[in-house]
Amino acid sequence: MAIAPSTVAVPRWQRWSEAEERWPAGTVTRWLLRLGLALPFAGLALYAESRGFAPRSAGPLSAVATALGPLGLGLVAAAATGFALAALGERLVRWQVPVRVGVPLVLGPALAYTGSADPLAVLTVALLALAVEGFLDFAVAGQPEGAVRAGLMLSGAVLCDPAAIGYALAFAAVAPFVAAGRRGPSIHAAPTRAVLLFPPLAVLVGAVLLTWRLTGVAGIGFDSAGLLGALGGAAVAVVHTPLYAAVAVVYAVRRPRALAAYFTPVAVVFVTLLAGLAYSAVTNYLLLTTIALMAVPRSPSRRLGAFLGTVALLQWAQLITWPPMSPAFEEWLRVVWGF
Amino acid sequence: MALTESRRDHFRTLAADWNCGYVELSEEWIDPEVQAGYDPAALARDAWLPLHVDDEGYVLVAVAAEPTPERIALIEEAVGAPVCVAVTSDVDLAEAIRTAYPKRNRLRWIAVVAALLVVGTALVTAPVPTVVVLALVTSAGFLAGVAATVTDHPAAPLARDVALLLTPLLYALFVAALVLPAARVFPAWSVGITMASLLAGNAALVYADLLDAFRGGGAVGPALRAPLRWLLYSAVALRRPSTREKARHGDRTVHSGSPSVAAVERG
Repeated sequence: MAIAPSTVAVPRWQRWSEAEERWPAGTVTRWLLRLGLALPFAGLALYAESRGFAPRSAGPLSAVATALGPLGLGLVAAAATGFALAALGERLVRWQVPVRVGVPLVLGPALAYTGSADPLAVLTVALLALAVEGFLDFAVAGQPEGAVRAGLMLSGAVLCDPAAIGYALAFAAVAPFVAAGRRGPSIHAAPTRAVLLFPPLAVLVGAVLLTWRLTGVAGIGFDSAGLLGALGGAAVAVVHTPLYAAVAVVYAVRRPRALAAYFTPVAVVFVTLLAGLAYSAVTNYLLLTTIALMAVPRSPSRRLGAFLGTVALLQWAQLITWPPMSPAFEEWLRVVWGF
Repeated sequence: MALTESRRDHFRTLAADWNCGYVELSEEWIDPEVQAGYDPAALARDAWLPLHVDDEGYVLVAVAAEPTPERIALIEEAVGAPVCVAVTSDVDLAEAIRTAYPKRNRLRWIAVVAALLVVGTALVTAPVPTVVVLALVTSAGFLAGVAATVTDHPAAPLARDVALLLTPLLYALFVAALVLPAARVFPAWSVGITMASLLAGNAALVYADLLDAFRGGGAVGPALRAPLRWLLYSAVALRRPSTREKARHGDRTVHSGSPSVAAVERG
């Protein structure tokens, strides 16, 4: 017996599923995309190794990274970059953000170096960007689980770069205030702060204790840049990333309270330089650009898309002519490319 | 821990829905004479356990299933006396049944003694590999127990029991690794794994309780004390009392002699 198809339209949210929303839709295609994105960086790692470049790592996981050897380090960095870029691309496509705004991140020497030689920096950028995204979900979209996600991502990031603890402190400080500005269920301040702070603090204390016991040193060095040096470093970090500043303007117009979370990376750069923790302008460039890309409003209007696309191209031109520098990046340019 | 507590909350809600009292087995006097002669497998299957005879001559029975008139009749038939039922959580009931009917197996004791002899001999002949293996096994057991507990895995009761027994040994190894230059004698990775296991397990216990506080609006202080509670449970597990101190029992209980299951009274 034939059955007539239902004439009742099912709302989109009722038929939504995580699997249907994936991009690309097929699992094999997604893996091929990750592999395709990782391959250029793997090629760069092989070339750098053939030129005698030996990448160095810092932070609590540096012993693990060193054990991989120069080529292993480069290949792990390439794999991590492939995954991170595929995840970022999937987000941009799903949110209907013009992919061209990602040009200053992908087509630049900063990612070429980091993606082929520094897996800890790639992980730091990816985890911190996911933490900021989770916190924005919590603060702006009113999703409580965003705070849980942010805390967990920060606990991973703090293993790669202890400066990530600054994000946890900043998020915990502003969480009740930014959450109070939206409608929805009121949050409990103390448990929210604890969920944001406890995972990274526990991981950091545990890592420092283990490093101290096994190597005899705490694993964290301090070499302050001074107040003016820290202010200058934070200002240069923003000037290097016009896309980050442009998205901040969008937030200032639409969601001013979210700026408290959005500007956390700049505040952490200032504190990191002031405290004298390890800092890389190259990693920070990638971080601010990635955060800007993940914070771009969903489905932007044609005018906003054109504006952000123009700013992205300007940033790319600036990146080529005035790239951010770090000692390891300079060594990579010198040894591998002869600059 | 946290999820066991949420399990208790779930059964407290069920008890209210069933118009029945809830009983905390850890605070209840358990009379071994009342429990004698039952098949523990049948008790576990039917989810009930007699506790003691109350002041009015009823046998207090803990149940972890809805006390329908049919179930109460079945229990009363098995007990052979008027009963008075109170709800408890399935986790606590399973633990109480295990405690009330310990498996007395002479072979197990022989195996324990043999294992101790093997470990002792290994310690004398090859101390470093033996301590490394012991530390890794202890770490794995502790982490598995904590993970099963915080995720409320079906194997949680058994894994938790094992982890509670291993906890003092892991603490001793951790303190030794912290105070003594263990990395000079033992491989650094084994020292690192042992120390990291204790830190990670305790962090997981705290975090699970923090998540409960975050989602349910609880306090942070008790969550931060989760490792201390685990240590107390560990001490209790090592002591394994055969009988417990008599304590004032539950709040409300359902009597089989009542005209309906809904009839309740103050304890």
